Amino acid sequence: MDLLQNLHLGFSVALKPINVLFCMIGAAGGTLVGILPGIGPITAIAMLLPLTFKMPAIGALIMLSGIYYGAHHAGSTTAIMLNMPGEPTSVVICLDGHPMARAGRAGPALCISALGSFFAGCVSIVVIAGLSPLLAEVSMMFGPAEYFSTIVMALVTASVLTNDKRLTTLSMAVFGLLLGCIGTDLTTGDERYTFGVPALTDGVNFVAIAVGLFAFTEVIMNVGFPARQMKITAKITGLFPTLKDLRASWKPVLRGTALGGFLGIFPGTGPLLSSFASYAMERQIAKDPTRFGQGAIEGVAGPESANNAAALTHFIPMLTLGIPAGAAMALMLGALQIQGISPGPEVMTKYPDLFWGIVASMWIGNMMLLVLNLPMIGIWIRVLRIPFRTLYPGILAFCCIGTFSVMSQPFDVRLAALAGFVGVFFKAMNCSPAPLVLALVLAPLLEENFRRAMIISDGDASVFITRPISLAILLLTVALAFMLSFQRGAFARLVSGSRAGAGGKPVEPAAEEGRP
Amino acid sequence: MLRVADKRQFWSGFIFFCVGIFALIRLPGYLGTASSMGPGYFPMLLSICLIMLGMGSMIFGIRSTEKLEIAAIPYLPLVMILAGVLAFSFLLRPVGLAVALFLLVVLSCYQRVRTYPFHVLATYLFLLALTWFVFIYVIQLPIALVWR
Repeated sequence: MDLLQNLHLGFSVALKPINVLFCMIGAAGGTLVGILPGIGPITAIAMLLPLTFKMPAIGALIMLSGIYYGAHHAGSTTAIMLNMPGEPTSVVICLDGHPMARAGRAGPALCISALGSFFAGCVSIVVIAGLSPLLAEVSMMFGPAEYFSTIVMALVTASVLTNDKRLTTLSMAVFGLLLGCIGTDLTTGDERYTFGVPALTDGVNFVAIAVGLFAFTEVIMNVGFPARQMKITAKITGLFPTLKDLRASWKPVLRGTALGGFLGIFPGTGPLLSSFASYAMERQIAKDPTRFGQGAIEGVAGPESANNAAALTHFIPMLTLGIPAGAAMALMLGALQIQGISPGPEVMTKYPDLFWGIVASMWIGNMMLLVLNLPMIGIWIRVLRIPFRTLYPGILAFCCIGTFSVMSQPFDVRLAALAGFVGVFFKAMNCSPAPLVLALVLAPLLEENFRRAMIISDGDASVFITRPISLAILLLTVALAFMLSFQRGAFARLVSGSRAGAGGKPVEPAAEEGRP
Repeated sequence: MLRVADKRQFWSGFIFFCVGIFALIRLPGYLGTASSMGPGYFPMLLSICLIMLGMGSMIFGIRSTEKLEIAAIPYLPLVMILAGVLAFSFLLRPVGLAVALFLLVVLSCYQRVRTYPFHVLATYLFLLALTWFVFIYVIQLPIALVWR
């Protein structure tokens, strides 16, 4: 069967020692960076991206993917141990994970979350392997109008799915699109918005913007307003969950995997929505909903699996269509482009070893995460204790040199400084930077597809609504946008409901939402 | 004077509005038509979108139900850390990594330079070794360690 042949190819690539090494560095690096307060997956990817340019494309992508899901999983560790979500998707894990830790059951919580994630990872990889060729075939029917609509869907849903005002996030996305216009217009060769600065002729360096908006802004805010050093009160005595735990968890894991795997495919949605949806579903289904908020293991098992499943299927739009589903994927897309590979449906046929190698290495990486997050948990706890003020000069140094190294332009570092400056003000005004970065990377694609669609339709703008697939995508976008905005209120009530039940301090999703 | 309820949304909307106007004024090249677009077509559409979104934010900001002030901005860290980054960018090529990194560390650790100078020095030396190893030795980036 074709699938087995492809997987065989993938594993033969992924199991090459150098690629295993890259996978390990990525997963460990991602876990390390994800554990650290103040740095999320996007900052981690932005920081380590420049290191990958001298690497072969496959190795670079394997390492970056490892960082991505490593950091995602590390976020749940801090959520359970410290009641501090490492990134927005872990907010839900705090609700029941931390009470478990407070009751001395941190070990089982961590273990179930690791096992659930691993299971979800395995299933998702099968989904990716099975679904991607189908999607690639469907996308052969995609014309420029359909691509345009899909990119619009990615931008709109990514913007709407934050806790901030929708108008603001949409504005950030459009602003990002405008920034993406800076440089040389590929079709006409004219320079746009460069103001005579030679370094801008090739466009705005997306790594500089990402580093500035995420890393520099975070560092500045954390230095200015140091977060209280949380005391780790939870002790990890036994790692293994009881039989009762396992019996209670296996169905939530299955449900979470299905939910997350499905939701992660759509551009713009993904891990965040999945973990919240899974938590809501578990609470609905549970025989005794009052247990939630006080350490119900279902509240950890379900969302954690959904989270990881979505994080992996999140790769599908990028690998098959060439459209990143979120800011983190956008950065990886940028990395691929710098390596000379333009992602799209041809990737699977032109570079099958790249595609299947990545899929296979995801599985290897997930296995490594199991090892990293269970036996080695003691090391990560110690890392958690390192104060931010010791770490941030290193973060700054890596970011500066890394940004410089992309195009060997010192100007890019200054651009990153400017982005950091603006980013601080944006943060003070609740403008989330992720839609901007996503839009920045997508702008050339969006414009080109718009242009082509217009040329083909001879200036008729209704082409986006008259072509059936494009219309379907746009309708889906509108539906998702409305559905998601209604959900935001529901999520907030959900979180405060669990908090009230447990009598604990409310975790503010709004405060954490801006975190990369 | 208008009483603005949600200052965050209002001022961010104002910024977007201004950016849109600026982009529209400095529109590059020629517009062209929909079927044969010039370099200015897409930016024009985007600028108009941004202007409208900005106006919407400003209006909603004024009429918002919640009262929000702009959050506190840490001005001193902002200036010092970015000064360090800028110094790094200007010094890296002419004078080399060692000096550039030194200024970056000293400026960004401005709080501890007076009180714990040796900590800062140790951080600098450690980072110099680490970045030399990762960037110059392993990745072979064309950066001079010291100006020749």
